[in-house]
Amino acid sequence: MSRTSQPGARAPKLRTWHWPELLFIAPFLILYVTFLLFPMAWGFWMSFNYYDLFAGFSEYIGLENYQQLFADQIYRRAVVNTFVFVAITVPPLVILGLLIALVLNRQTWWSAVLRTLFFGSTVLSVTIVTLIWRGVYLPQKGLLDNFLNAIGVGGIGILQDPNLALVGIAVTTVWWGIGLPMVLFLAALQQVPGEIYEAAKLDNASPWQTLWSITIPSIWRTVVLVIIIQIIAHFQVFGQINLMTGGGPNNSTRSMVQFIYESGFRQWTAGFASAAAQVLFVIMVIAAGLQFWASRRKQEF
Amino acid sequence: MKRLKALSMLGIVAALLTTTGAQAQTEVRFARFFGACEADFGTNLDPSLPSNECGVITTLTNIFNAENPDIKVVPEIVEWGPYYEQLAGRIATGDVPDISVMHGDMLINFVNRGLIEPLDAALGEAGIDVDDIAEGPRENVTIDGQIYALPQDFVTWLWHTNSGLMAEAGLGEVNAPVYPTSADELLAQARQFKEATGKPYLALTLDPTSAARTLYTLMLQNGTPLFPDSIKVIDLHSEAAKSAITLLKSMIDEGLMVIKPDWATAFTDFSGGASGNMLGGTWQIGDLVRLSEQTGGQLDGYVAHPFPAVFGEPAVWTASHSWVMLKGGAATPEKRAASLKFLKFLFDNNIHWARTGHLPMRTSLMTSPEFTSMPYRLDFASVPSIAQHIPKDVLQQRIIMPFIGEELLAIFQGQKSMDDGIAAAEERVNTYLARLR
Amino acid sequence: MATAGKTVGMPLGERLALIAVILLAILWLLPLVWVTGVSLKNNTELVVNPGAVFSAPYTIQNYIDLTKTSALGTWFRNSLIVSLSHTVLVLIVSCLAGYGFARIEFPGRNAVFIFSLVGLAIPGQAIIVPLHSFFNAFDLHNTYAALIIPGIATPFGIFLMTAYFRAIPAEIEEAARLDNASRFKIFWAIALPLAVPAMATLGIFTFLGTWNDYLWPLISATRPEMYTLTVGLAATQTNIDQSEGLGYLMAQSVFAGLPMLILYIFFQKYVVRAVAGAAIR
Repeated sequence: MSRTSQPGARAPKLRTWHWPELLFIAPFLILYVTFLLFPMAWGFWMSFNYYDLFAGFSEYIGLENYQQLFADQIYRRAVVNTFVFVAITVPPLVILGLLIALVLNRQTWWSAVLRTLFFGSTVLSVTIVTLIWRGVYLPQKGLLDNFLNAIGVGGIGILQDPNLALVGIAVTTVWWGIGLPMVLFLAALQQVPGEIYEAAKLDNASPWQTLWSITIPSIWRTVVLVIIIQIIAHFQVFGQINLMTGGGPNNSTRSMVQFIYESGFRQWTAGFASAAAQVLFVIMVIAAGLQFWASRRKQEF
Repeated sequence: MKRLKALSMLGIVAALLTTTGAQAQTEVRFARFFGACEADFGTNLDPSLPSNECGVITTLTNIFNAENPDIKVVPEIVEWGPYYEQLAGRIATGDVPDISVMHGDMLINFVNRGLIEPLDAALGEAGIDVDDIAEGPRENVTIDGQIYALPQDFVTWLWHTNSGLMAEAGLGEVNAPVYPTSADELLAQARQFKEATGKPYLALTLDPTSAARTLYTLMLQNGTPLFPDSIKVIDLHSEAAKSAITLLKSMIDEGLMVIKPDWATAFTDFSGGASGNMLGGTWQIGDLVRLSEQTGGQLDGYVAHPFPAVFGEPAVWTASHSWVMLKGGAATPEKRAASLKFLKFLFDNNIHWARTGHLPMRTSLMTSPEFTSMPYRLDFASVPSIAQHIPKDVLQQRIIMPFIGEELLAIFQGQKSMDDGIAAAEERVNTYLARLR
Repeated sequence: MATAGKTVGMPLGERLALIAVILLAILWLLPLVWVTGVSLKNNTELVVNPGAVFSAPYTIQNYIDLTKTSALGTWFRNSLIVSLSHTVLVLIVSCLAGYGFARIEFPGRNAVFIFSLVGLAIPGQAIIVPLHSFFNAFDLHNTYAALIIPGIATPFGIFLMTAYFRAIPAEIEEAARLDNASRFKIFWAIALPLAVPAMATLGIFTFLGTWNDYLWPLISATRPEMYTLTVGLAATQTNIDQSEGLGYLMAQSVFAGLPMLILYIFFQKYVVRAVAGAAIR
């Protein structure tokens, strides 16, 4: 997935090409430019305008949107929230995903059942996942409070508490998203030749040593890949937040994409929203750069 | 009621007879929130059954469709949260509904963009007696001398009261509780209640709009304007605003007012007798009545009362639902006629909407026995005279209300100092309003 | 396989890990069981006693109510139409272009390829505002086209398919090339069948992504009859706080989630293999 050598390097014999053959890539290029590059460029332009999506009115205002954006406390909070969310979501996804994969990497019926279970939550759509978890977190009526009441500490509204709401959403996200890292790790583990383990066994290596000196290094490339995929995905968190808290309480869960959605579509300030989108774009470019850098480095490990 | 039932039966028979005639129906696309409840009321034609917004509007639509076989009102139901984004989106794409519900305070945003047709002429055409519309709601939908919407109700902030508990604390009798008439009385009565019952006097829900509506109401009672100099600059650091916030905060700190984490909990607790009063809105009356009946009368002596005048003159924060005809909708004469007929029908049946808890907007209905005999409502006759709106030319009131409410809740819960919270709320509201053209 | 399927005689560390995973599995399962339980309860009973979930009586009334409202079926159909069409189109466009980049040595190919990959860095969420205006300009909102078209040209698909076609030895095609078969015929008859595993990966990723997409349908489909399942369910969720409907809401989520779960359980071998395929390359 991360090969970066030039395409076609292995087909030196078929050198001739004809114009009609460009039809192979034409559909892609046309759609790519129309529905990805052009909107991107338009969005960039929009970010220098006061733009009313609904009245179709627009006026050039220079850098005003950006000035307002960087001075906006709520936006700053949204950036912080997004980083915090990534920081508390990605590690459990990676660590738990790896743990589950290590344990379930065997051909027994029960590990197959558990693999199904852990990946099963991933195929549910965000709306269903949030519906389930809003139910779980519901004060008094929810599953969680049912348990907490039993041990006498009930009445905690996870999603109503500014200190807990983002954590609550992160837990939901881990529950929802664990399947992908698990499967990716399982696939990588199955690529590790069994002989290495046999050799380790003969050397009387402890399971812990085997894990650290053989397993992890063998799948390191996948670990990096999973981390980066997860970072990129969770920087764009929106659905869970919009559906579970709408950004509250006390702005503690508003994410960058939630901010873009709200300012563009709810608050009728599309130009301002576009400026916020450009910032997200820059962060994504940096993340993509990291991915490129990491994939270059992987062979050195 | 009986007559209406009979009429609707006739309507169904007529509908059955004419469907075979393959008559072309005029479709009226009716954009609204209020939720979907086909499962419970999809075929209901008895307006006395439902007690919430969804049930009543669904039933009314059913009845209209049954009585008018040549017209089919098709509800297009959108969730409450993003309703206006979606409506604006539909206008932008030219997919305009024929009739849409709109909160009175949202009108200005659409009128400014030239997206709504003035209704003066149409209301006359439809035979709707504009003079029967109560002054407050009518004034609220009148912009530059033209009426842009047909109001449907008074939606007000109020107190839900457990008068049984209040009586226990010596605050009046069952079904006739005593309410405070000043801030000092409020505190005194709340303390008396707490002492007698060990329970909080008031419950507020951790819902930003609730906190904001409560502050708005106190400010309207006090008479200090929220937008003193310009409709684009809110003033929350006036003496009045500060003392209103201090009053609420001190009640919370003293345990006289409790904050419930969400509405579900608030409802369950209140109907289980956990507090004397609950801050809420007219739209909840029907549901609370039903809940108290379903839970086996735990909530004995439930009444709803306009927000007591504890901070000055009697006044309550008010909004109204209204019906609008957006530009580009109801484009053909047939559609227009059918839409107007539906508006007239809603006007004529305004009384049924009151079952939800909202007040009818027709002055003639306020004194009618049908309305005054509705149970659980105390002193509702005073509402039209004390109902007040936030100035109608303040833009995007639905957006700024949660801004204020979120900061208020942060203050109430001790997450921010009062000055910080006020400053944050002002900054959020004012920078947002300044950003709008 | 690293270890045999025996738990007896397992080292302590491994046994602890196993216990941890089993505990996790229970945590993973609990919400699903609870939701199913709630969906089988009378709504009023839930209001009065939240703990009632764990004891009889149960009822299927919520599911009966569900069938009375037809919208769920419409949303389900919309989701299916949108996800399937989008996936098929992504596959067609990506396979064609992937093959083109891998095999056709037109001048400037590398530059165009890199140009195509730049899009990898553009998050879909960052272009929703202009994309909304764009579809607005052509009056395309509330159509299947608006829900299907964005994202058909996916740099990820190009990347994946190009790499895959490139890995197929060119010699395989040479015989056909000498027979003067057209490029398209070679692509169709020889290269494409070999690329099925990569197509499965791309297809399943795309299908899942589209099926679960929320933001774009939320702003583009504004009419209930054009809602996808995600947006439609979101619309009914707003009143979760209105206590009386909890059982009904949960019945909805079970009803809407079940088809995907069943589909997944039937095809999980392929799904897992396809997803894993993306990692191994």
